[in-house]
Amino acid sequence: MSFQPEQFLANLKSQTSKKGIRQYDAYGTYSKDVSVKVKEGKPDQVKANTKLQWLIRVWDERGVTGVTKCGSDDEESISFALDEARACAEVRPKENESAFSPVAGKKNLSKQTVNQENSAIQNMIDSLVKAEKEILASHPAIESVPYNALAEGYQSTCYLNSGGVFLVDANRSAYCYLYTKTNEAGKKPRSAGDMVVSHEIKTLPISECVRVVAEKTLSHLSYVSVATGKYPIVFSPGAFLDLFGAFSNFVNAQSVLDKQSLSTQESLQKQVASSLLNVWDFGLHPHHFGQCYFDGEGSPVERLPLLQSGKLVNFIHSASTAKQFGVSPTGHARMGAKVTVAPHYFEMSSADQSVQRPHWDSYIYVDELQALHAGVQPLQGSFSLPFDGWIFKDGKKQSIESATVAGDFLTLLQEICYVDKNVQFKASGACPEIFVSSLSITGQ
Amino acid sequence: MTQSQTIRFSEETWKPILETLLAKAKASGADFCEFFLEHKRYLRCLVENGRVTDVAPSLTLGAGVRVFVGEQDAYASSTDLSQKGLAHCLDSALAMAGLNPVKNNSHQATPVSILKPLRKLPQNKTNWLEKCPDIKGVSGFLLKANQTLKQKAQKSESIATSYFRDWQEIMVASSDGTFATDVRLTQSMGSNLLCVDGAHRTSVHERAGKTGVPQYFETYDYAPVADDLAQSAGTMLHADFVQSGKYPVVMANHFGGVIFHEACGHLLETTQIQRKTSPFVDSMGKQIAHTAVTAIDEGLTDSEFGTLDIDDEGMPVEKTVLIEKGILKRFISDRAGEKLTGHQRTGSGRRQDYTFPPASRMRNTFIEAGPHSKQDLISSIDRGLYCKRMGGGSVGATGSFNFAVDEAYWIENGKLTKPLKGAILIGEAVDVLKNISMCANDRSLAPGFCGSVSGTIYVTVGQPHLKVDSITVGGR
Repeated sequence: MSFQPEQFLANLKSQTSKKGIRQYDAYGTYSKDVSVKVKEGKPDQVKANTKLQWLIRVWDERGVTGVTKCGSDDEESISFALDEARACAEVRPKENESAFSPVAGKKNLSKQTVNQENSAIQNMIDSLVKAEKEILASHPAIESVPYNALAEGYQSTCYLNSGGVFLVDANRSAYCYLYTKTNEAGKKPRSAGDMVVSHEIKTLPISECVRVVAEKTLSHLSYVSVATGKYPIVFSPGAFLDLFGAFSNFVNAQSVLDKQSLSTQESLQKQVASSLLNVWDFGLHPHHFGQCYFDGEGSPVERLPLLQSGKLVNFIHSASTAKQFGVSPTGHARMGAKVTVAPHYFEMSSADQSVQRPHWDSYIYVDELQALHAGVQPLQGSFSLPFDGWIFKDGKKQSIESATVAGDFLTLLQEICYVDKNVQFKASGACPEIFVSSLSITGQ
Repeated sequence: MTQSQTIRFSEETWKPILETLLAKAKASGADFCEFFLEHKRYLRCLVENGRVTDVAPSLTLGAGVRVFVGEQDAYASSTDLSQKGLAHCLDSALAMAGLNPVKNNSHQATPVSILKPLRKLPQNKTNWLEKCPDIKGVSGFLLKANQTLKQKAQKSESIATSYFRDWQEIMVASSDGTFATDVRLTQSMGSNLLCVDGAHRTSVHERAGKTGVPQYFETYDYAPVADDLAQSAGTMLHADFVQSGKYPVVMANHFGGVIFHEACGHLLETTQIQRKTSPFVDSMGKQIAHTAVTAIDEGLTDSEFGTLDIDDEGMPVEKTVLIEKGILKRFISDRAGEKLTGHQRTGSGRRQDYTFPPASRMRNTFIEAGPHSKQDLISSIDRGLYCKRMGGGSVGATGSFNFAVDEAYWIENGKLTKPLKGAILIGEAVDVLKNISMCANDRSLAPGFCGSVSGTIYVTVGQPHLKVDSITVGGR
């Protein structure tokens, strides 16, 4: 099986012509992935997946859209999908229906050919077994690396429409994650982990992942309880990106229109965060390994400022939301019957390099947030989340046994008192350490 | 093969193809090989504030091949269900397992008879899809439900009602002779209500669902759901944040069962036992919970969300007593779990779809009812928390768990007082099970989604109202 968007387009043209459908578009993805997991020096599970999916959207006589998703590109399957899509359009009202994106195909990047072949399985197993062995050798208390994986994949994406736009992009990505578990007599089991991403396994910093995981695990072997109360907090780049992502409805135009956002249309140009914070969304950031130069409606993906010195300057848009806001689409659409809007890759930095890092006698460092799906109330703005981290007191760093951090997201943004200069690159964004003057911690 | 037919996996078409491929797997040195074919018709529909905003059907065909060599397992999947596509998939799995797929047709030289007679599809399932409401019927029902909620809610900012239907046809064929086909039908209704009053905001949601009931809407009454959500949102809109601390708590029945699912159920799956990430690895036959606790995992209760006829390895499901009066009796096991841990399969091999190999997963999991009334439990507490409406939760690699409470009330001198929000319950599985000291006589089950190693699957959680003597509550 291979990805043949030209053939798909020919079949789609043939079927839409037969059915009298004049306006349509489609978004297709094709992926080939391999992954390995190991246990005690041996392969535990190896997996390969090849997947093709097309999302077809048609406009009916009223200009209302209907969609269907299908996994085949033959004419009979397309015919069936078109009938289903038309049936969907029938039950939808004619309100704020989107036309093609006015900027679809305005930027058509010619890309170099991307290699479709993944690494040899045995080499992947060997690399992961070596990583597991190195972590286990780093301290006798590390009993196992129960959650681990090394994966690589190729993905090709296509957007096409009846107006003649035809865009194809492809990329490769690879990742490795390692999570340990410790076992020491008289102590609770502890765990730590890390994940690294790259375009290919050969450029994946697995040794760095091993070093970070071993170091983190050892730092959690001795732990203390912390008293419940208010503390100054430092968020690791990964933790802050996770939290920001969980509340990203506040920069999402579709959420604003649906009243499912912490923002309203009037929030634009308001000071919603500390003046120290700049945030962009940039789907083509060189450290974003799932990048594609167009979105689900064919609009170009570009670097979009969201917060500038804490002021909300833009929302992310689809063609439909952009039309309602009177702006241009920003390249954040995901095609569907209801086109949704989603960020690609947040890029954050300090808006004022002259501000000095605060010197606190005691503070808590939140390294990794857990259970975001359960502890975040994205429509209320509140969060209460368990975390892994350390307490820094009188120059000493000690792991925290078990605690949660709680607060209100919009208040937290205002209470950022320092944004570090050193930006770190994570899977979901680029971000420095973020310092917040006070948040509630529940300890033992 | 195309996607427009309804029932696709017939014995006549597939037996010769699959037997040939299974013979090739054996000839290539595989200890075990299993094919999983899937045909899925999915429909999602969303009504927001009186408008149909999303109707999205999808059609999927896919296959997965799993090969065991010793303790290693390799899995390949594809959306290409042609014979050539399946053969390519098998070759990938064999190669990943370190085997050289036989090149010639020597495995086909003699007729093979690997598969047992097909476990056929029950006749009543063949027209389930046709009996389900069509797109117009679904959107009409959702519009009415949305309107009802709008009429009942005060200060509503946004109202969403949603529906999904997941119709799945599967065929399982493996080298031990297993040959089975089945059709599953899962339908669900969800309601979300966001209320705003000045700076005060609250959101509440409810989900219901059934399996194997084509005329699902005839069983679903949205009026009481709307009443419940409107009341809950009205109460919580001006609620204070809970003060963090350690308290005795009463957990509600129904979706309150998520605590057992997260805190204990996952740790009884052989996927955790084989990784030794469960504190219960060596606890078989031992007292791991209070004597008030008897816990079950089963796939048999009529029309519940986790109910199946066969699991994704072709094994008929069963009732599995996990804990009896506090004593650990069984683990939840699949084929790989049985092979790697020795614990007998329980019909619990489950997966989201053909892209995942199966793993030991829960089905309908609940704590059995006890002798007390709900009021007995509340009356027994001087200062504590009543957790009426639970959110989601998770369990970590070390057995520590957490889950959110969407609606809580303070208990003072045995009586419910003010509403509280923002609570998150935190603990260790080994501790909380011993701290469940009272179970009420009002067990109730609720549908849920469970995400784990083999993807997201439909499950049921459940319990009666129960009292936990002490648990850490995160708040402000």
